[in-house]
Amino acid sequence: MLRIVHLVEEDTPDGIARYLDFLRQDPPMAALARHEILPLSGLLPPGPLEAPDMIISHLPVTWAGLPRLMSLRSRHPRVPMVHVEHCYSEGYMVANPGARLRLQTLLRSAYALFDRVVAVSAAQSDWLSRRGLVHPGCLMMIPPCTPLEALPLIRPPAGPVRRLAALGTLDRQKGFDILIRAFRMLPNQGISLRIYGKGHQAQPLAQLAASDPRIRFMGHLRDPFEAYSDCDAVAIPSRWDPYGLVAMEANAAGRPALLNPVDGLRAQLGRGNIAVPELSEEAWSDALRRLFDPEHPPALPDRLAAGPEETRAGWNRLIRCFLDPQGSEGSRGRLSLVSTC
Amino acid sequence: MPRSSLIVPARDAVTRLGRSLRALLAQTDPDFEILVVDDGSCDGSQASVRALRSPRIRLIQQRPRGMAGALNTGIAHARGTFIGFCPPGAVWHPGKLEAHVRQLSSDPALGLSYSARLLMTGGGADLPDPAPTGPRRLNAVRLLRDDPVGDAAGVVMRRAALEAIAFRPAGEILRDWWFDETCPEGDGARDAWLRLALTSDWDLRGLPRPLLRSPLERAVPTEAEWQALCARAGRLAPALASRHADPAAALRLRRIARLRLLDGDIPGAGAALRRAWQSAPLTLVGDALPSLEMLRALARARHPRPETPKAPAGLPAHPTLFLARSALQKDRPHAAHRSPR
Repeated sequence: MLRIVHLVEEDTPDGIARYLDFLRQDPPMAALARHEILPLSGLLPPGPLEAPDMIISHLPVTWAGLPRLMSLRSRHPRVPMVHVEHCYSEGYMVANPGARLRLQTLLRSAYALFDRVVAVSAAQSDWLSRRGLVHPGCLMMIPPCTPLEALPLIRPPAGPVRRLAALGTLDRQKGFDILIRAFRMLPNQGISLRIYGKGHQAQPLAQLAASDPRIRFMGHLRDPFEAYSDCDAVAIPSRWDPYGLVAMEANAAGRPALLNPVDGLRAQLGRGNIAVPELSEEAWSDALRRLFDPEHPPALPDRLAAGPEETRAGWNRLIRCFLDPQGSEGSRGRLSLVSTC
Repeated sequence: MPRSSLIVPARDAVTRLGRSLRALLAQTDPDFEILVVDDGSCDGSQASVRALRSPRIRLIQQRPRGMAGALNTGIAHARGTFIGFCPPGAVWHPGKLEAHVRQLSSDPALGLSYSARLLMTGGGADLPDPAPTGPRRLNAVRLLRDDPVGDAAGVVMRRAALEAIAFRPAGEILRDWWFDETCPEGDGARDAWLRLALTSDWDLRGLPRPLLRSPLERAVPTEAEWQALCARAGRLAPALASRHADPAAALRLRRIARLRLLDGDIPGAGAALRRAWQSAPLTLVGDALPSLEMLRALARARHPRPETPKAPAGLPAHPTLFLARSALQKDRPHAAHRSPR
């Protein structure tokens, strides 16, 4: 069986961790290859890996982490190396405009070390392609997925929306500051906002919500089942979001998502999710007011139009890129760099 | 499928429509369609369009939704990869579309291409637009301060870039909005360019050649349009707005003063220049030359000098220039005495 090593940061975000859970637990994915997770700490390169068939990096690309990637490439010159880009997207570039050229240089340099770069959404793939950050032949798109089997078992919400949830790392990316300010502008009683997650902005966000008893911080949940069970709708005010796993999970749980249509979240529209036209407190407050309107509750979303099939098909395509049908007796069925871009 | 779609929004514009359409039909680029969106005209505009009997022209009729609404309807019906805008009264140079298509085709990250323009006064004279134009990438600060793109006339966009600013407001069931139909007194174009710069990573670049003649009155945003634009900037980028809104307001007033001066409205020019200096003097001190030039011109217009006899031919008009030219000739004796071959 093929052996694929996934490199992740030790404190990897929950979304990536749940994606890796899916890769390991999903029977078709497990039949495709044995997925091993290797958490890395600090900026040191991993020790020599024992003959992996493929190395997949889920690491965030940084200047400080570049030597680690170079070391990895030089130690495994014949092993297909793939980078899955979970971090950077068009929205990231817009939200961090100060270092455009520096970031583009970093991404071009890092991606050049890999045989394939995997985008997680069509929007991210278009952006990488039009900015010339990846060679067109090396770019693939595989939407991620998380274990979704349990979520459809959650009872669908009934009646008007009263409980709103927001899930994710408490940092600037998720835009929870805008959500809290917008929520506080609502006079409604009997509504609540529960925020699940941890992160370095926990303290400022708590201060922002301090005097409003309707807002509660629920801490970190490794399994979001409980969060989706305890809400009627989910808010995703992300400043950037390469894919938007939370929207997919919320829909699988039968909850509509109120979202900022940026990056991969744009593709999550059309399943009953609601786009807020502008990422501002005023626009989000208006959208929340309509969401909580007892006269016009939102329609329940399709319980997962996009499923794990696309993810499985994408991984199949990726592995086929490197399968060597002409290989020798010993190497047949193994992966090699037969296809380079 | 045509490569480009040119959208002409029209309401009661029978007197200006024919000239604009004839200029569009004379484009040297062969692959385009023209969509005339009749926004509830009562003056026979439809008949004048049909009278042109061009297979390139498609006439779309809608109930009145305003200029932005007509542009949005045009975009919804457009089939081209590149989409250009030409409100009635604007006149395209025959090579304009070809130049924009060349620029957009050569740079996949370019989302919006515009050109320098000449401004048509009521008297029929063409004035150069004081807004700077060039291939340098525009950001939101330059859009706000210098207004180089102006209104929709003469802009050609990539369809994918338009999708980045598409939104569906609550209550709209027919189609998306690209231009905000609630923008006061205008086509919502400046607001759309600002949103494109603030929320997407598409580039905006200009062609320095004047390839468009457009009416003088739309060269600068009206007060209501300007207030709406500042409000949008304040919501989307509060830090940017607080830093640049006042200087941008002063620069807008200075542009108004210059245009009024060029148009012969001396009291109006003086009043606008005074208001500009009152609103943000520090901004204008940093770039005082245009104001000094305008003051000089205003003074001349108010107190015209009697005509002085012209200097004899062959001699410089001013003694300083005469001395400078002598010095130059001393430095370059060979150049001065070179005999023509």
